[in-house]
This record gives sequence, C-alpha cells and structure tokens, in this order.
Amino acid sequence: MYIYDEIDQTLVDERVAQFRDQTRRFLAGKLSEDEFRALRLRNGLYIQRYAPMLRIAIPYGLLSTRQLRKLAHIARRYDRGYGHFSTRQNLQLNWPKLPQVPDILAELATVQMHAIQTSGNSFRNITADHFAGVARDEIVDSFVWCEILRQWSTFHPEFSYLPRKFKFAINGARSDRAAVAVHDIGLHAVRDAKGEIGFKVLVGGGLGRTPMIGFVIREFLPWPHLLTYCEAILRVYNRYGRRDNIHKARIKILVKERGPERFREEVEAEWAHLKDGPSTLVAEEVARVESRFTRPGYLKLPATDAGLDAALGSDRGFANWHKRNVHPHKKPGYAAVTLSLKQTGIPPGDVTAEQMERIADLADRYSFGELRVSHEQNLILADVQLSDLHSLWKELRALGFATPNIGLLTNIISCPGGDFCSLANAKSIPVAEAIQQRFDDLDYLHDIGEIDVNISGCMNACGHHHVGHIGILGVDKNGEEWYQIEVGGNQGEVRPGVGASLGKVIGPSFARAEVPDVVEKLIECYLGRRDSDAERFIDVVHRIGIEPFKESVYGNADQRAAHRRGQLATA
Amino acid sequence: MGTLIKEQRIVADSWRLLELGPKGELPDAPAQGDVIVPLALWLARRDAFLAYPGKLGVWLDANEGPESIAADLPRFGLIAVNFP
Repeated sequence: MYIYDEIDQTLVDERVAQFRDQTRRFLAGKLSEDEFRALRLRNGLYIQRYAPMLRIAIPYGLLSTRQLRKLAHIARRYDRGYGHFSTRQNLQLNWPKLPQVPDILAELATVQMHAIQTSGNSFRNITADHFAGVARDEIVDSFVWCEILRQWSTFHPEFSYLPRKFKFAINGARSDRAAVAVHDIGLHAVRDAKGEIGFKVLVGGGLGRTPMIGFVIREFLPWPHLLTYCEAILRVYNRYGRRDNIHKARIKILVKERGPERFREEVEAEWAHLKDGPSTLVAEEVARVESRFTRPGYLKLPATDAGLDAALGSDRGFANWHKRNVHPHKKPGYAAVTLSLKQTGIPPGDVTAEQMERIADLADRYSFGELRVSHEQNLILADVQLSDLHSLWKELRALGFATPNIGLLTNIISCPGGDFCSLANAKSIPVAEAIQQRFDDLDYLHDIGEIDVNISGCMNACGHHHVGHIGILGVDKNGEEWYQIEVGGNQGEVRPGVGASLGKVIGPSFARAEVPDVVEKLIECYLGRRDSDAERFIDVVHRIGIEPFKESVYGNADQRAAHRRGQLATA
Repeated sequence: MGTLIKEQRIVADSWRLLELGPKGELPDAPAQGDVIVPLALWLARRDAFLAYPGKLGVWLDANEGPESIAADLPRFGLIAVNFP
C-alpha cells in the first residue's frame, strides 16, 4: 500500500477546501452552471440521468481495508448503500447529493483518497495489472511505476488542459493483464538482452466510438527515460490534438491522421529537447517511491499444503472455484484469490456497504489488510496462505463472492448502462443477467472454457465491448433498444499467441430477448470447431475467421439473401 | 488595469495585449509599458523591439508554433498561447 507523504496529503486537503468553497458559491448562485461544470469535473462529479455521479479514484486499483471501510461508510451515509467498481478500477457512487459532496471528499481525504482527475480532459486513473507484486511472471512491480506516473501526472501544469481525457495503463508482467494496447499510452515492462528493465511503449489505442489498437512507438524505452518520453508524446498531442471536435480529440485520432511514422518522428524531435533533462528518473527517486509502499510480512512456508490438497480432492465445489478463482503467487505457500462480483442477478461491479465491510474483514484476516480492484470489475485478495484457501472459500460462498467464473462466460464486463447512465442507448445490466441465467450450468460453463463477454450500453464503450471475445453493444433504432454483436475482440496477450484485436460486427442487431440465443449459437459454433479443450473461443475465431460464426447466427449467404428478399417482399 | 492571481496573491496585471486588426493588420507598438504582441508583429519589427523599454510578451495563435521564437525566448517576459 502506498502511504501518502506530507505533500500528497496537503494537495488533497487543499483540494477539499477549495471544492467546498466552489460548491458553496454555486449553490448560492454566485457561479453559473458552466463555471461550476469545469470545477466539478476536476473532482469527479458528473450530472447523470437521475442524480450526480461521483467517481472516486482508486489509484491502480489498490485499496487498504481502512479505505474500503470508509467507502462503505460513505456509500451508506451519503448514497444508497452501495457502490459500483468500474473498469478503470475506480468506485462510482450513483446517488450522492451535491451539497454533501464536499463532505464526502473530506471523508475520503482522511484515508488518503480523493476524486481528483477522475473526469475532465486530464490524466485519468492509471490502471495496472491486478497481480502486480505477486505474479510469478513479474518483470517489475507495476504499482511502483504507476505511483511515479501518478505523482508526475497529478496537477501537471503543462497538461492540465489536454484536448481530451488521457488514460495510461502499465503492465508489469509477461502476460498482459492491463489491456495496454487499448490505452492512450500503454506501457508494458520488458527486459532487454542485457537484462536491463524498460518499457515497450504503445500509443494511440482506445475504445469508444473509434476503437483502435495502439501502435508500438518504442520497443524498448530504458526506465530512466519514462517520464521524459511520455512528456514528449504529450507535447505532440497537446500541440496538435484537435480541440474543435470532441469526437476527434483523443490521441488515437491524431496518431491515425498523421500516421504512426510521422507521429513517431515528431515525438522523437520533441524528446530531443527533453531527454536527460530534469524529469529523467534516477534510482534514488524510484527507491523513494518504492519505500513508501508497505509490504506484506510473508511467512516462510512450504510450496504445497496437505490440507489444501485433501480439500481439493474431496470438495468438488471448492475444486471448481480453486481452478478458476485462485492464481499462482511468487511466494511459496501463498496464492492470489479473485472475488467474483459477477453473481447472476447483481449488476457487475456493484457491492453493498455491508459487503464492503465483510470483504474488508476477510482481507484483514486472510490477506494483510489489502485488496485490489481489477479492470474486469472483480476484487482480488493478493496474498492468501494456501492453508487458508478452503476456509476463505466457505466464507466467500456465504457472501456470494465465490462464483467460480473468472475467465469464463459469465464473468461479464458491463457498463452501468441505461439503468443509470444518461449517455446510454440501451440497458446493459439486464442483458448481462439474461446471459448469466442462460449459462447457469457450471459444468457447461467450465467446458466452454475461457471467454470474455463484454457489454456496453452505447458506443462510448465503457463496457469494453470492442475487446470482448463476444462484444455486445446497445444501439438505438427509432427509440428502441437493440443490440449489435461483435466477435473476435481481445484485450491483449493474456496468454501467449493471440494479441490485442478489435471485434467485428457479425450483422444486423437483435432485440434484447434474442441476445442469449445469439450467444448460445456462437458458443455452439465454437464448440463444434475447436481442436481441443485447450483451444479457446478467441483462438478459434482467429484461426477460422468470423464467417462460420456469422452463419451460425444468420444462416449462410444464400439463406441470408433469401431472408432479405422475404423481408423486402413483405415490406 | 486588471488584476490576476500570481503565486496565490492578487496582483495588478501590468500587461497590455496588442491584437492584429480584423484583416491581420499589424498594430502600432506603444512607446512604453509591458506589452504582449502578436507573433506577426514581433517577426516584422524584431529589430525595433530589441530596444523596447518595457517587458515584452509574444502571443502565439492556435495555428502558430514556437519555432520562430525559439532563439529569442530569453527576451520575453511571457509567452501567451491562444486556446480558441
């Protein structure tokens, strides 16, 4: 856990006082809507369909139990008793009251939290791989690098008025668990031939209405140059990025319009002024940031546990959960555990205040008082002893967080959708629920194997539908809710082989009630064509293309043409 | 004279902004005082400005880059950048 120093705390406290005064002046009629809008957006406060929405920053998804208890308290006292963990690893409150928001921010400041730069045209929360610091395939602890970037990007004077929002992701391990290719800047830690640490730098990726996979602007950037090189990228963007059209203002559009090569040349030219300048990182600075992280006091444990092995042999439910929700750890005798927030019938990412408190108790007892939020909207207890797994599972099951579906079809990423969001064209949570209900047979789910199903209620793509192996997008047709289906998207090289890719639309959209049938047909198509259990849905799509999947849903080309003729005849 | 917040204090804003005419005509420079001049004026009358008694600032419009003033940066008290 990163512990604030005096500067961090002062910044947050001063911001609370400043926003309290701004809110007071707005409520007294001394600031206009427009004037206040710019100020509230700097503090994560949106005006949504039914009420304001407050987005609380959880830097790189890392939380202490003290912070989680505070979030529970805030949800209960100032909201409707629950919060929503988002795909940017933040927590959103959907029903705060504007006059109380300064009080909420003041409460957050007491546990080293805030809502700064969670909206507006600024650097947003920097996301990270959720097994940072514990993964066996770790190259660096990405949290340390996220924190360095957080300090650099917080209130950065040169970049406080960017053309549009800006999202970083850092992945510190071999497997990409941070979706680096779909961020404005994605940083993937690598070692060069000499064993030196650096970052592969991707730029211009993103989802939204113009989805793009980032291009590799540098295969290997030695770590001391991390900030100066990012500054060079941001300078090119800040200077040439469009401010006249919100839909063309992200860096991905600039990269596309100029072409990657020209963009790279411009960044290199800018970097020539900055390289080896004052922002160059030195070992002491990295060590300073690293030293402010508390570290778990691991015990020396054997690599296996007889009690665990016995429970796995005798308890099938536990074994299923262990297979999906327990992940290897770099310390012998420990494992990381994913708490599934994807129980059927509950909006993905939603947690009640009471559940937050129960989870905090579990994290205190089983995992050194810390937890993480993943961009897949689940929670992670990163440091659990193998000998505790069985009892932890029993407790999680009682709480409803032991759904053994991590990586499986029902582990759906979904935005809040039309139930809450004023931008949405369609609801997304009931679609997620209908799919979860259709695939409620656990054996079948495990047989289908790893697959990402992602749902967005509009083209802003908060539910990451473009990178779902199956992506579902809510669209508006003459005031009615319809759903477009994409196949073949992939968030990144989670496993070696298939890199990041964008899904392709398979055809005309469907009514909400039809969506589970369509998903079922796509799954049947996959099962009929896979080589073995080891070949995942996405592997099959990449091997055979989307045409067979299209056919499984709409029929073959002749059948589709006949269907269209029939439709025209009736029209 | 207007005021501005500088280093957390409200101070007098001594700067005067010269703007191009509606058809891009160059304005006349004043005899003294702190002045922000459009890039075009600076480039046209650079030599004359070198002897200017007040502080000088230069105004870059949204479509103007800083390259042409790079060598002269130490001469300016401020650089204004227009975000339309």
